[in-house]
Amino acid sequence: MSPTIMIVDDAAFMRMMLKDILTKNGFTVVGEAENGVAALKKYMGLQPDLTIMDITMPEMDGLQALKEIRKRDPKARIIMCSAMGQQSMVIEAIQSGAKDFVVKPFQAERVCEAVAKALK
Amino acid sequence: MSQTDNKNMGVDLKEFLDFYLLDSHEQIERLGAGLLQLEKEGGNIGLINDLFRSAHSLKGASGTMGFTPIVAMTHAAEDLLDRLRQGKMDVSLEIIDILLAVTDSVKGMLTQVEQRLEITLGYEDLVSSMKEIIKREKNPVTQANQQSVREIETEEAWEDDFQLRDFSLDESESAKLNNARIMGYGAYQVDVKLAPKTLMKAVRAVMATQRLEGMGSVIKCVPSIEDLEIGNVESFSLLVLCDQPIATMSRELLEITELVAVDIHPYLSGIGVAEETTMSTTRVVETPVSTQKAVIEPKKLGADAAVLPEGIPNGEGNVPVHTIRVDTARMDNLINLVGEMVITRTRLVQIGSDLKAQYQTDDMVTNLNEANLYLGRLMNDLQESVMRLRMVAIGTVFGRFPRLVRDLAKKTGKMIELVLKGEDTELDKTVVEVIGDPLMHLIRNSVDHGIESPEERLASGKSEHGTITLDAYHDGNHIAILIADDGAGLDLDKIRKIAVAKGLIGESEALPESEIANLIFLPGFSTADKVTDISGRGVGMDVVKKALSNLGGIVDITTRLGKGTTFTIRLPLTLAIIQALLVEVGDEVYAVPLTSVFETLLVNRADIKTVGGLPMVRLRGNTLPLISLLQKFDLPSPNTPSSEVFVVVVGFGDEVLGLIVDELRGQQEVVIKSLGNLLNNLPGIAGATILGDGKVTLILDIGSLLQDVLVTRK
Repeated sequence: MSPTIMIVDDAAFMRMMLKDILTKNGFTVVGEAENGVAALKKYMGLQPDLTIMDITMPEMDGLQALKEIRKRDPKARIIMCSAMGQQSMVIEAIQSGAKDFVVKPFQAERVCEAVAKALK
Repeated sequence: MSQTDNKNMGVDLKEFLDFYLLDSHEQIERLGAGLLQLEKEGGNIGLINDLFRSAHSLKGASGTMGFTPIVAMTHAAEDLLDRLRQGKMDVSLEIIDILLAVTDSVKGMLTQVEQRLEITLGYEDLVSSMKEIIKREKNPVTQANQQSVREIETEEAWEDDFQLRDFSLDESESAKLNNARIMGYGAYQVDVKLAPKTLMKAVRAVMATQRLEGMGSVIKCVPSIEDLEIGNVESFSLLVLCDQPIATMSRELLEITELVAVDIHPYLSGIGVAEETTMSTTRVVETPVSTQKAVIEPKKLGADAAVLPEGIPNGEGNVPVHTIRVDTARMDNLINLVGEMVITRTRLVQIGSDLKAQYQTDDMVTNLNEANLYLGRLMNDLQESVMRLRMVAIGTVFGRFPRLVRDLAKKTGKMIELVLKGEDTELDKTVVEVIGDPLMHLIRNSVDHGIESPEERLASGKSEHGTITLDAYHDGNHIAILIADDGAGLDLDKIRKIAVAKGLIGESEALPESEIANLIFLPGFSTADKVTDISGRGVGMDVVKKALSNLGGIVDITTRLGKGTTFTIRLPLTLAIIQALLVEVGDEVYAVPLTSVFETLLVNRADIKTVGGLPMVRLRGNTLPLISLLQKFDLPSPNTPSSEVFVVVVGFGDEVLGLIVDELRGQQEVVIKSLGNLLNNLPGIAGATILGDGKVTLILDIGSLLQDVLVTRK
């Protein structure tokens, strides 16, 4: 059974791109969410092996969602997605338990490398 | 000694020889034990530093004494260790083996020195081998191919071009560094290389710091996190304190994505690299615009560096044990004197009670007896303290066994783990000195005949690794030492057949299982099909038993075929002053060590039966074998044998024996005096003592009496 991944990003285009990269590399995308609140809800239901989460989102941003998810599941594996200029938020995410991060625009290899390592 | 006579301008080095030998032996032991530990752990900087210092000390002392061969070897070893501690070379099996060979060689040389001989052992080969290894290291490509004890995953792209970074530590950072060093932590410079075009390099640095904080402490990052982000550099260096091996740190860091290479070196600023550091830090003083604090400090660091090298205390966490060295001759003298005091006190007691019998109510007599009583208590305390002076932890003997087992295991191709327990158990020093050889023989036996080869073990469902356990503990008034293995066990049928074949027992003789095992202690017995050089020549086991019974002890075997064998050695605790039961046999008085006495019985002669030619009596449902001391010691029998006799039941553990005596005289403290070289090996006699009335009394050796009766002979 290939590892299950949940993609969280407010931009549908981003979600599509990520889904494409991941599926082509043997991972299974089991769910998508467009903000932190939805992510939280879906996470508890789906229990994915890994979550890729964008930082800037409406309703509840990625950093907040990360903290909330990890509160409920301390073993949650989450990789942050960030744009340039959000370094301090990424640092905070890492310090709050995010396993890794990737910077937009993506390079497929970097994404897969991060996912593979986080799943180990 | 010709080697030292001409050196050192008139200072008589002979005076220092004993001191040098003591010290050097200690250093060599430390070196040996440390190397074995290093083999298990890999790149532990604190440990390698200790080894380096030991080699260095040895070199210095030997140089002063003029022992050139030792200097040559320790110098080459020191060079090797220096490179290891600077991270210029990795610890490898080859290096460990050669350094162990060096310790062996130096030990041999020290023995020659001790015997006031010239040092004749060769050393050139070892020295050139070590130089070879160092030369080889200079070529980094070959180094990557060497078999390492722990392999560091470093990408080939990272050049082995280590440059010490200037971390520009401020005062608090330097203090942290020095404190950690003193406590034995390793300080490392961790150079991290990031993938090209890594974005958010600062976050990668944070991740690296995060991982390292999990196993130590990160003092500083250079360039700073902010500078890392602004600048173009794709690498950074961390100053880290850690007590984990380098390999562990590397592995952790390389799990971070976008980290392509990790290079870790010990950070030795302040130890021998002082010049570089002071120079680079003075450059920093010049730059006024700096986000780094307290630039004046570096000068101080440089000054401190001059003081640090020799001042760094031994960072291995040694608890200073307050001990002094005492000449053993002095100690023996003290013990002798105390012994004489005990005897004299006994005389006083005798006189006191004689006086009491004659002048019952005389005040002076009463006072005398009171004083005697008090004196008795003092003597007990004094005795106990003095006996404890002679006690040495058995760990000192156990110390050489890990190396022995390692070498033997390698030789026989078996995988063996040695577990040591009870190293703190204390024994009389004379026992400790003699017990090493018998123990070594039993361990060799376990390795050679006990533990099976890894293939055999796997085939019978056991783990590949065989375990030999050595344990020592106090058991009542004895010391028990166990050598247990989880190997093949003894084949009792085979043993029995061989004993019959060698004529050691009769073919139809029925022996209980426990005694069949003991047959291997008979001289000339050996079940080895071929003679290996480790054991199996058929002279070993009986020598072991003899050595142990000389100490007043016995050895017992329990074994299960396919499961393993356990040798249990029992030794009396002290050898010099004991409590004894005095008995009369005919006209003679003998002393029986009270620690071996279980009970005394009054037995009717009629109840003594003879079974198989040996007298015995029934005791609570069991048969108690008896020995008549009258017969044993060939004493003239009294004219009118009484209808009743006393039987003193003696023994160790499960082996018991009854001694037939005529009278019981009572309990008394007795100082064992050796009978001297001529009379040392009398069967059944452990020594002699002088009683309160001045009479010389022989002390029985219970171990040897047990041996006579219980090991079946034809």
